[in-house]
Amino acid sequence: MKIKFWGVRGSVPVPGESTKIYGGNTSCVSCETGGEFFIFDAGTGIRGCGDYLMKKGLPASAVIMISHTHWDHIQGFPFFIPSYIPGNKFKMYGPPSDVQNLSIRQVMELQTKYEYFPVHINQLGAEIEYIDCVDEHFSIGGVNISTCRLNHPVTCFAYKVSHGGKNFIYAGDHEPFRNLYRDSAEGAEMDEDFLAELDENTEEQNARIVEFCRGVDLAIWDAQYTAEEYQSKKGWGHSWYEVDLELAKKAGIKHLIMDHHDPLSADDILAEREKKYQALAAEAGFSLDFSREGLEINL
Amino acid sequence: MPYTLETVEKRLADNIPSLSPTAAKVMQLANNMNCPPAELTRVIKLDPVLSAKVLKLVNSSYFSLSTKVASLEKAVILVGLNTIKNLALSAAVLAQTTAKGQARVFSIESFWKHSLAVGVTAKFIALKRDVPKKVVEDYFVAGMMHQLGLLVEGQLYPEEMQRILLTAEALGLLAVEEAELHGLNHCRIGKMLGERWGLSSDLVEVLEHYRNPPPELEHKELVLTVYLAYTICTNNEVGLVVDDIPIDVDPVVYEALGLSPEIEEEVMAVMEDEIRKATEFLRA
Repeated sequence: MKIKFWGVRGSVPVPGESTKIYGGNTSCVSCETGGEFFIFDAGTGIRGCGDYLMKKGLPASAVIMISHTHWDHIQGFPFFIPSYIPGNKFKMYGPPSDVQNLSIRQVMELQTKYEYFPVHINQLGAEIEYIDCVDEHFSIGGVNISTCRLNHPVTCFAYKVSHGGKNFIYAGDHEPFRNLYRDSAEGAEMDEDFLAELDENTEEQNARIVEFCRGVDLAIWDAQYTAEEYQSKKGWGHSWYEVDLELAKKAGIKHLIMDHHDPLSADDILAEREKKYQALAAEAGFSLDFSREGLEINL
Repeated sequence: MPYTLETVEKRLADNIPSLSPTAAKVMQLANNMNCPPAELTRVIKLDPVLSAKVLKLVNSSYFSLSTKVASLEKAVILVGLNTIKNLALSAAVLAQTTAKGQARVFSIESFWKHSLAVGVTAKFIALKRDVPKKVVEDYFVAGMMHQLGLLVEGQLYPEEMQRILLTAEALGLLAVEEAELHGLNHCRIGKMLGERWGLSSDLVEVLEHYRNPPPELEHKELVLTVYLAYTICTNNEVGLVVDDIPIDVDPVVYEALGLSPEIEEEVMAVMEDEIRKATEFLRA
């Protein structure tokens, strides 16, 4: 498996001097394995990934896996040049909207409505098949894919790719599940037994995430905040460094990539944090890196 | 489209709007970025369609739950506040655009009042019977949702339902009329909806049997409680009445629940106040 990072930033692109080392493009990672070219998320990083595909030779084909449809994970798609070229073939998997009963195709169509963009996705030259991701396990070519629903303010998946005895996870945005009622004014009025049951339900969901990650060779995981920053961002749907370290320890993740960097985290801040958490990971016996544009990993 | 089990099932895939009495409050809460979870669950509990939609989502395979969830508080934690807020909002928007259609069949206000009364009564009985505190609210939700089948039938087939309701002037004939015209009734539709949406088996049993509980039930306490609540509210004509009154309650039911018929008087003494509180909450 050849994995490459094209966009590592969460929320919004942040080009400029302060992000030139780690990169300012929003989420996009590619993985070449089993004769397939997978692209995870279509943030602005997908533009560079598209150029790479074009240089590889036409006709191009790829499988695009969308973790969720928030802007920073789809906004680059209209600038994915290979999608304009007849003869190219793509499959796009992603979560349908369980709130509005919309397919992934319908959700993607919304961002290229006439008012927002001059080319509607129906006008794209390439052949694109849109597939609602509703199954937990499926295969593409000879590559096995598993999905895991994460905790984010919209339906959001982590994808696990397994092939040739190796596996890796690309996770969309995720905030650990928490009991919203515990230590709240509302919870104070609730029965303690019920609160304890809600604690258990919460832990079951967090345990489900750990099981999904159990023993993987590589996991690319949301690490937007520090524990301190998280305190004022509860409910925004993101993780923090310390909780990711715990996840890696509990699940036995062999190599953790902290991804989806906050737009406010400039290169010097990220470099310092990367060093700090690499040391902690080494103590715990696993590898850790921060994602940065251009980083390649061969599994 | 002919009115058969298959076609009803097909139509259940359509978007079903929430109830108009709750729509404005849902919108107000959903538009508040810092909406407290308890406020949101409170308004959802006051709407059987919203409750069903949220439980449908949380009981989908995504969450790999070992047991079905019947608690809306749990659902909020598992699905997330924002998703539930938006789910509620889209159903409320639909309710506002289809409010006229709803009113053609029967008064939604009157349907809502009856559902609320059954929810209040079911919870009252649960407290009286000292059921575990953590499931008390589930009794309220089950009572609130008991006539989901009737609501859905009215929304999917307004013309047919209007005809049925007009024909069945003595409304005790409702089920017979439904059966004669379509070979179906709202309890079967409720069951089908509950199963299709993956609701917990106790709720499905309530939807199917709230009017005529058979002797053998898997969730006897809950179904009999909702049945008793239903008869009390119907006999006292709280909101929509769709049965001949008075309905005689088999003493076996009181016996099974360890209650006496005085429970009716006790709950009716607080009913007006409970309905007022819910109405004020929705209007606040």
